[in-house]
Amino acid sequence: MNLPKDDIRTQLEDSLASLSLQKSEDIICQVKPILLSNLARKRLDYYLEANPSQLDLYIQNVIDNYSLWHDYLFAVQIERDFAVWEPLLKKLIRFAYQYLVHKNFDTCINTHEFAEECATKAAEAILTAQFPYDISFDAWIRRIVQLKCLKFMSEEMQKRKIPANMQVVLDEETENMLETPDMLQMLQEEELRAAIELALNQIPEARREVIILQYFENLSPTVIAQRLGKSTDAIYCLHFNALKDLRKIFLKTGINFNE
Amino acid sequence: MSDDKFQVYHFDKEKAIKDLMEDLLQFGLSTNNGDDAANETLDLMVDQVIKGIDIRQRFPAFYQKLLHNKIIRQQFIDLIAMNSTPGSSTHDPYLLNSKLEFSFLIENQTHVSGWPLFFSQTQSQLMNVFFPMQVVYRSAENLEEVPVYSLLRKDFVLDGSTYTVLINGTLAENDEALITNLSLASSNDSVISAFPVQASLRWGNYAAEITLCEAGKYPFPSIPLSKVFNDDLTQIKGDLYLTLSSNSC
Repeated sequence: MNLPKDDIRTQLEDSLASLSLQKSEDIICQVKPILLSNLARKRLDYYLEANPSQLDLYIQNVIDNYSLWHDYLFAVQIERDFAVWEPLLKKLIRFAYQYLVHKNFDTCINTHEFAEECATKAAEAILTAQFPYDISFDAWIRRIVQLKCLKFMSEEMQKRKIPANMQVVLDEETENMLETPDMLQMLQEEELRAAIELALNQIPEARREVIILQYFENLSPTVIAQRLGKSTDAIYCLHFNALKDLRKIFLKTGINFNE
Repeated sequence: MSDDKFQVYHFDKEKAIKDLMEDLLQFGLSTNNGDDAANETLDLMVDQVIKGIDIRQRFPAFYQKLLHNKIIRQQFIDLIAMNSTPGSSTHDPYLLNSKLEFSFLIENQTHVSGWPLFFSQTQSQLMNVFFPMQVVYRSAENLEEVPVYSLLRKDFVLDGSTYTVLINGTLAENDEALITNLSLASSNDSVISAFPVQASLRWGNYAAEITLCEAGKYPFPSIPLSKVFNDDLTQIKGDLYLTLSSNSC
């Protein structure tokens, strides 16, 4: 979804100009950079897609929230006031705990520790993240907690994968029995393999190269980095973007990895 | 890499494709759902639902996205559940006894997890830059010296490397504009893998974007003072926001 940003920006300037007759110039100057930033972050894309006239409503919402939350944000992000942070951190831990329990993730004694870890990560993000002022502060930090918890859960699941040297080796007969897929599954896998090959040819060369070296030549990111003369971080980035590209292509072609 | 080369590679094509498919599936379990706009808007849409707005009618494209994308749908439902739970509760006895760890507040360097990076400087901080409190008996300034205003300076750690971003400004000769430069430096000569980086500066009525091809010093289009100061140049109009984003690597 890509709305014509220049059109919205012009509309935004017009709306602010007409609002400046009712509001003080100060508040207009304060919220304008926030609105432009939200626009650049694609935050208005879905909001305006069906009804661009909702922009005025959105601006009003940002102005209201700015008046409500700006001083608090100053205490949280700039002053880093302990008196403000103490209840906030408790709130973050509570949100994280509720979320982990809701997701049924390790509902045991460790959950408190996990919640504290996720809350600290969320707190670090809050210190530097840009509050969009189009929702309440609590709604915003809940989303940050959710994202940190999801990342944490994903990393924990990765860690818990059974390492190769710990896996039980099955006898050949049992293995063959387990590996025999039914016809439908075989067809689906064939279709997926063909789609992967096709999709690989559609992504940028640098990203494709990393995928091929990593999966088809079985090279580690460090070796790929040396071979391509790039940093390991660059390889991780290329790998991440390649997977993102591939998923986008698959979604377009009707193969949904989410389902 | 050409298609032919792709055909030549593969030590074990079956395994390679299986591993790739597994990673693609795993990637789907992460927070990224492949739609930046939907990801970015999720909390806003939840807020709308809580306010009683019919998102099916008001935001049909987002509603369709919810129907077709399991990750977004699940995150959306979870977020509504979180928002429906009271923010404070009397049933958290462990919170009363737990020792809260605040070390993240006093760390000088900010650890950032990824792009985009947001930096801001408040109106009052900027007022201190341009109109610092001065001791009355301070010796006279050297009039030949062009004052340099440090509008923003942040150190951050990304992927294990430390970076400094700095925006300095000097007054133009006609005294009607600020000539500003953005410098991005790395303490250990490492390079940010995500170049080119887009830098967006928004301040009062001023907005500009530049592209950084590598670490170094880059000029922003000069900032007319009328866009960031009031008419008699005694007040700054608003906070300053800098966004560094990377879309490619």
